[in-house]
Formats: sequence, C-alpha cells, structure tokens
Amino acid sequence: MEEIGTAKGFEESTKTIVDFLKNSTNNLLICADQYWPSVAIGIDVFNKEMFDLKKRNVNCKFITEVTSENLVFCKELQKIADVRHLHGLKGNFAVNDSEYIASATMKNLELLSQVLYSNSSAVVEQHHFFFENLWDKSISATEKINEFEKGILPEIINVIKNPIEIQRIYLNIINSSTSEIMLILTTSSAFMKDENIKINKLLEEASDKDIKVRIIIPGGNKTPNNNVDLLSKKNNIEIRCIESSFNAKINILVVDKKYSLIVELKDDTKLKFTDAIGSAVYSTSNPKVMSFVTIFDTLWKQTELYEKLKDADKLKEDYIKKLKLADKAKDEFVNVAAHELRTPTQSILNFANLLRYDTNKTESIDAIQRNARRLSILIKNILDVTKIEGNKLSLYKEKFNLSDLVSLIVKDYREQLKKHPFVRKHIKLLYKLQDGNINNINPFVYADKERITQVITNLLDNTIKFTDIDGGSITITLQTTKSDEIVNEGMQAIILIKDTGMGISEEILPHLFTKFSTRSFQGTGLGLFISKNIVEAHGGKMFAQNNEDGKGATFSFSIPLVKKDEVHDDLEVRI
Amino acid sequence: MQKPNNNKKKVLIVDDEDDITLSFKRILEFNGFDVDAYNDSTLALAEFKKNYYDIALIDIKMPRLDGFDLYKKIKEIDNALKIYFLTASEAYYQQYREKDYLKLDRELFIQKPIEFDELLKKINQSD
Repeated sequence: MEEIGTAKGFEESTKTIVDFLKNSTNNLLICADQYWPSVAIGIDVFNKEMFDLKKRNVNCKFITEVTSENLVFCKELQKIADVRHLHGLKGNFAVNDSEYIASATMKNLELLSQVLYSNSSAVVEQHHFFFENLWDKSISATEKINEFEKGILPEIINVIKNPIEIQRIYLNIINSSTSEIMLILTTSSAFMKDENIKINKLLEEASDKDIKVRIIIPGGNKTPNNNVDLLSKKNNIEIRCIESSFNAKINILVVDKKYSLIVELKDDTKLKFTDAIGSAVYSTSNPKVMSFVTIFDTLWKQTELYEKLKDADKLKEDYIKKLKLADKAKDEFVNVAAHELRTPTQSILNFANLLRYDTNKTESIDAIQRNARRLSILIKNILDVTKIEGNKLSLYKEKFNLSDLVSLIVKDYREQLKKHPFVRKHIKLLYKLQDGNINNINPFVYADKERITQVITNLLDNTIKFTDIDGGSITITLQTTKSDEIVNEGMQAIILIKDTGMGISEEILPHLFTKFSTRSFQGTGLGLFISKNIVEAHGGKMFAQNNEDGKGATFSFSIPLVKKDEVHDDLEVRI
Repeated sequence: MQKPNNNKKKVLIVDDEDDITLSFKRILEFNGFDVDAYNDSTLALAEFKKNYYDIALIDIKMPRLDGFDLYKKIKEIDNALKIYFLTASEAYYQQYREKDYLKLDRELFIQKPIEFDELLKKINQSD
C-alpha cells in the first residue's frame, strides 16, 4: 500500500530517517545541503546507520555542498560512498529502491524536526531522475576538498548587478588583502570621490599593514583629486598616471593576485559610488585574475615609459632652451665684440691718417696708443674668459704690499686723466687709507700682482666711464677687516671704489658679474666677470651696490692679508 | 638755418666715442670741411636748429637718444639733409632691417672701420 506522510518532532523524524536507512538494501541516493554532512556524521544515531550502509555494501551516492565548515564531515562521508559537490545546493531529499524521504530545512548538527515520507513508486522514480540530473551537474567532492585544503580558491565567476552588493565585495576584498592591491581607475572616478565608502581609509590601513598598494589613474600630471594626492604620500602606496587617452570605462581591482573585481562605470559624473557604477564581474578564477594582473603590469610598465618619456622630453626641451640661450649669448657676444673691435680700429685708422697732415703728432700717437691698448685689452679679456671657463687661468703669486700697488695705479690714472684729450681731467681721483694708519697694518697680500692690477684698473675704467665728466669724483679706499665682517678666514684687505656716476640699473644689478652683462653702450661685459673670477681665485669676494645717497655706485673686493714676515715662495697656481 | 656764405661743406658728426668724433673732425677739417662733432646725441639735437649742415654722420648705438631716433628728429627739422649711419654694429643694421620702420636704403649705412678715402667718396656722392 502506498503511503505519503509527515513525521513531526525530533523523535518521530529521527525514527523515520533511521528506518529509511535500515530499509536501504541495494541503492541509496541522498541529495542535501551543506548542513546535512554534519547531521549525518556528527549525530551518533545517524552516524551509526550511515556506516552500517557501508557494512551492508549498499550502493550509495551523495550530493551536497562542500564548504570549509563541513569539510571534516564530507571526508567521513567519502568513506561510505561517492560524494559530489554542487555549489549553492538547496533542499534535502533521499531515495532508496522503494522509499523517499525529504526535509525542508536542516541545521548544523541538529536533529530534524519534520520529515516527509513516501513509498509511492512514482515519487521514488521521479526523485531517482532528479538525483541523476543533479549528479551530472555536480563536481567531485575530492576536488572541492583539495581546493580548501591546499588553499586553492574555488573558481568563482559571478556577475553582480546590485550596486550595494558590488560595493560590499569591493570593500571586503580590499580589507581581506594580505600582500598586494592593484587598482586601475580609468577615469577620475567616483571610487575615490565617495567619502562614504571609505576606500581611502582602507587603502591607508592596507599600507600600514605593509601591503603594497599600486594605483593607476588617468590624466598625465594631474591627479584627479586631493584624496589621491594624500594617498600618494603614504608608504607602500604608489600612484602612477597613465595617458588620459586610455579610454576604457571600467575599473579593475585585483587583490593578492587571487581576487579580481571588474566594475563597469555607468555614470562617472556621479559622486556616489553606488550611483556611478553599473554591473561588475567578481572572479577568483586563476586564469582570469592573472589576466588582469598582466593587464595591470603592462599598464604599470607603460606608465614607467610614459614618465621616462616625459622626463626625456623635458630634458630635451631644457637642453634646447639652454642651447638657444647659449646661441643667443654667443651671437650677442659676437656682435658686441665686433663693435668693440671696429670702434678702436676706426680711431686708429683715422689718427694714423692724421699723422700725414697734423703737426700735433703727439695727440694722434696718444690716441693710437689708447685705442691699440683698448684692442689689446679686449683680446686679453676674450682669452681670459676662455681660460676661466676651461679652468686654465694661472696665477703667478708673490707677496707684495697692496697699498703700494694701489698708490702706483692711482698715480698712473691721475696722469692719464690729465693727459686725456677730453673733459675727464675734471674727474677727481682720491685715495684713502683706512683711518690713515694702513701702513701700521701692513696690507701684504700673497697674490698675482698683474691680475690684481687688472681687477683694480678694470673697476677704475668702469667708474671713469660712468662718472660725470664735470666735477665727478672717484674714491678708492683700502681698509682691512676682521674675518666675520666679510669672509670666514683671516684678516682681509678690502678695496672700495666709489663713484658719483649714474649708478647701476636695477635691471643689470642681479647679473652684473655674469658674462656679457654690460651697463654701458661701450664694452663687452667681460671685465667684471673676469675680475670676480680673479678675486675669487685669490680667496676673496667681490661686491657691487648703488650708493645709499642715490648718487653713483661702489664696487669692492676683498683679498686675504698675509703677515709681513710670513714666508711665501713665488708660485704659479692654476685655477 | 641758411647755408653759410662760404664754399666749405658743413658736416655734423654724432658719436658717443670721443676718439671717433675727434679723429673724424680733425681729418675732415684737414680735407676742407667745416665740422661740428658731438658725443652726446641730445646735445647734438638741441644745437642742430642753430646750424646748417650739408651732411650728417651719426652713430646708432648711443645712450639716451639712439641714432634712429636722432635721425627721425633731425628729419622733422630738415627733411632734405643727407644722413649717414656710421656704425660699428652689423647687428644694428639687421635690427633695423627687421623693423623696417624708417624705410632707409642700405647705402646709408656705413660700416666702421672705413678708410677715409672711401668715406670721402660717399660724402662727395651726396652732392
């Protein structure tokens, strides 16, 4: 007689199940969810019956969902029968050759409280059919158990459409990271904008746990927002930019090279994460995850090249700029030098011509000499600059009294000014010693006399050029100073040359001592450059400033003093 | 200003280089010219109205008032005067060519240094 009934309560339900198991003689098929293994093995009364099946050589087949929690029970079940795994299995039924039992719900390690029973051959037959269908769709439990035991992840590929679920997975996998996080943001994305989802905080926490975080963002030099800017300052977080022409509308997250989440961007203008995204694909499939790792690595390398290319471009630009500047400076110098060569040459030609007719030959001879000297100085200056730049300027050092040298130069200049055919004889040239007692100080220096003369005459020539022709004055002062007043070492002699001329224009002042810098309509702009280099080669310094009273400028330079009785051999020094 | 009643040609020289103005003044005077020479272009302009000149030789690179500006100011006073630029700077000529605002002939530019005989030819051509 065919029966269909329900056993209610733990006792009746247990008895129904035990009877069913005992009745199974040839075949037994059980299909039940992830809690069933714990019930079948973990509860004594069922455990005994299950192992009895084996003893009776009943042909058993079980389908369940293997999880990390029921792993132990599944392995026990494998001792009894062939076990297969079906992901997400719901519902519980069992059939033997003539009976069918089922239960709607099952709980971990708990007896069942309700069991359906039937011996209807139709029901039994139908469930044999269902079972075989499910058997075909399931996979070997051993494979699944191995995944758990060897740390192999189940290969999941899920398409998720619910934005809240996507957000949950997104944050979870970042949070679960143990070694590295790779993130590709292909747009200046809501991923980083949305304060609510705290992605930055999670990434920062990851970096604190020594997890290597690498992020690729779009947009050349621009970082999309302040959040990214702040992140990039953290240790273990490296952010690189990729060309904005990379136009994909997906964001790729790969964690520990095990999990990947590819999120499609629906509307990047939205500030909220869940509003901005479309669907997502979550995967733990090794080939898939590794493909994204490869994509990430390729883009990462590309950003390196991109950066290098930008650097190279910048270097090239800088180099071209420098070359152009150097070229311009060279052209200017050639023009100025040509001007400075042609002008005295013209005067020499003219005065030489005048010698033919003029009875006042002295004037012409003086002028020829003056202009030839000017040419000679120009040539010397050009050679000096070449020497300075090639570090080949030699100093022939000897010990001498600086005051004697200055006196000699001043005397010579006074003569020259007197002889000068033009109105410059009205310029007063004064020489002051500091407090009148410089002789007591004995301003001996160990220096190249010719070069120091060159510096002083260069400064004097400059000041004469810029001093008012009527009633102007030039004052040379020689003084000594203590070390801390001007330089760090020893006593220094300072020569100040003060004029009452037009002063130095603000425009030229900052680069007064650079090459080709000229404040006059005459001159190459080499004299001060050379003078400064000569002074510095002697361990001194050179200064220039406009006078406080607003009239004229003062040039000064220092040079270390030596003691009168200090022994110094004359020496050639190359600087 | 009327041409003075003598046969001497009067030359104006403006150059900020003392030796250039002095030597040209001397040499031209020896060759029968009447010469006014100035080192200061602003002074030359101020004095210009008081004098008559047949020819002017002016430098370009000068402080305060450069040769091109002096040229324009002189032309406003005496448009007929033949003015030569006597310059040591090729760059100035190039600069002028780029600007092209004065519409000047190349021949008006005399490159220093120039032999006196050659200069004399130029001056005499201007008759």
